Amino acid sequence: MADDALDRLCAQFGVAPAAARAAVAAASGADSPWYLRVATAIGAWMTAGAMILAVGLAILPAFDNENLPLTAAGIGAAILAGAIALRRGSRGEFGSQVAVAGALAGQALVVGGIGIELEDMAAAAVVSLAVTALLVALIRDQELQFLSAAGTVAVAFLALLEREVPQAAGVLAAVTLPVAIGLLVRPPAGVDLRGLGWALLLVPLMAMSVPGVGGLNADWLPRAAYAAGLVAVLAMVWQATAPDRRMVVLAGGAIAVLVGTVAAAGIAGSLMLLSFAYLLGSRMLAALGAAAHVWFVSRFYYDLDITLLDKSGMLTATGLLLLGLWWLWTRSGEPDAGHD
Amino acid sequence: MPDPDVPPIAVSAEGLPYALLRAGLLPPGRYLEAVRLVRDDGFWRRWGRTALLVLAVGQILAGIVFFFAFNWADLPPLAKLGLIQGGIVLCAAGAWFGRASRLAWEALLTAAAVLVGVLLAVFGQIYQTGADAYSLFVGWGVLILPWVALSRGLAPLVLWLAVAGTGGATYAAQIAIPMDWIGPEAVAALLALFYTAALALTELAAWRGIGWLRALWLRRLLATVILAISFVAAAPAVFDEPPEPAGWMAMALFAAAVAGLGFAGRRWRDLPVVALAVLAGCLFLNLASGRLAFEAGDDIGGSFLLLAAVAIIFGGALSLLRRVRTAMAAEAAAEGAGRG
Repeated sequence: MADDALDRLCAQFGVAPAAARAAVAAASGADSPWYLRVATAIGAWMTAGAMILAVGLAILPAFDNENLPLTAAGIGAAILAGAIALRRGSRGEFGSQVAVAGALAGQALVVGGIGIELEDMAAAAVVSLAVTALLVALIRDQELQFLSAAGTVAVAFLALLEREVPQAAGVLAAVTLPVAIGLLVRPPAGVDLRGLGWALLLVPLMAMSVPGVGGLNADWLPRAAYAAGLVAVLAMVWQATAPDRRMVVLAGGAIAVLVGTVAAAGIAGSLMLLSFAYLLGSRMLAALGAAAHVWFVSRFYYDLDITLLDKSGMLTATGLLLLGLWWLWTRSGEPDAGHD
Repeated sequence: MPDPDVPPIAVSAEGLPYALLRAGLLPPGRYLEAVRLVRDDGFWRRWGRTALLVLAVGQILAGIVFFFAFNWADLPPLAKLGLIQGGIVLCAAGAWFGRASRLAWEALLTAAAVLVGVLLAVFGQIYQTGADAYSLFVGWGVLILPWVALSRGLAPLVLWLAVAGTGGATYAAQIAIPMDWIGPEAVAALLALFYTAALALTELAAWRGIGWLRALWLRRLLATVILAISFVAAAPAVFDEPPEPAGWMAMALFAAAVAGLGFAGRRWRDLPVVALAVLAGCLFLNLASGRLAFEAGDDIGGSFLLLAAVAIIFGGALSLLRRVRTAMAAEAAAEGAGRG
């Protein structure tokens, strides 16, 4: 399957098969199975935790308790530096995972220490952004990039909430979504920024689940942001679809945009994830999108201020409509969409 | 026709475009074109249809549940019990008519088995029999046992194992422990032995050629349950001063579970089972190290002692897993060569 796909790519883009195989071999490396990586990560994170505890207990008595936040930030910076050195010098999976855990703990201590000292989440967000930029530049690790960027987006969101910015979740989505889509549909060749792209795509949508931030009420900005994202993704799907199938994309897209925009921003966001999963051919994103869709649809019905009988009618009618669409799709015997 | 001299590549088709992009063999502007070229449209068509069907059926079922929830208080007892019994009959009949599909057969029989439990719960609610909760689980387990045995389905079997285990645990919590017939550690030991017996029987049956019991996930699920139960029973004993006989028994049981599953996993050449056993053993040893470290009387010295212990335990365990993995791969390769 993958061999056939590689042959097609070589033929389409005029790449020498030997060079393509060498590139793929370099990308795959000697990856362990996922369960061994999880076991390694658990061990590494526990080791990093014990290391932070030991270093913290050894250093703390030397400082005055009044300067605790700045002391924590200093310890965090030291741990961050150690983790970067360890990761750059380590070839083993265990050492790499210890470095990832140490770098994230260091980032948390630096950001938390400065945020508490200055009593300003915006300052903490700026520091977190700087640390993420440093880690992206110095360590080529997708998991670390994703987790560090996710932390920064979360701190930025807290800063918006602290300053009582209206429609905070919408502001966050409007800023991050175009960057995320850009990084994932046209990834730069020089530096791998996919972890950053995933964090910018997923964390603002998760923020929609925080009660009272605009994911499920009448705020227009998050709806508009995700509707625009959905339209942009569908436009790319439309471009990549054979002309005789474009009407299907247009009709399905119009329904998705309408349902997502009228119902709730979270539903629009989850439909965007599902469309994006198809565009990128990403099964992991499809699973996340499906889980997000079920979650936001459930929350939507839970929050509706109507009787159970009315909810029952809405659910049954929507289910029957979807069943009808499924029947039409199955009956049409449609060939594979997307290929010319 | 694949070239016999070229080994198959170890990356999924999904990851190929990015591997070529990173190697400079693909221009960033044509990344989406490459993604479209390797996308398995057949998979996405099936996925889309299945997701639409699941969403439609889920919403219709939720609508029906909401309808009865709205009217539940006004329904006479006979109607309540009749509705659930009707559901059982419909599920069983649906399973029979849809028996050509393994998924429909197992899903509908499992739903019918779940409804038996619901029927018993509603019966107890209507007639207020005053029975203990364990009788619900025991009765439920006894009633569904015949059709679990006849169904030859893994999902009903797993449901029955969960119901039977819960029945035993609630009986112990409500009767046996308050009456001082047995201690909590012995209850955990009996539960672990029950699931060990289930694992041994399913393995024996699979070995004797009963094909539907050959699923690896059932073996791994049972191994996880055995390790989790024995770990939860043994962990508190680590902090007893000194451990009571029951505590020693729980620790011995946990050690036996780790060693037994580790050796069995090695014999079955099932690396996830070996990894589970090793990871459980590591977590327990770390717990014991934590106690020793903080009994040292010196916080700083103790924390460094803990750091050393965690690093040695996980380092040794991961090294052991790497050796086991290499040995298993060598054995599989030798076996393959022998067959060839």
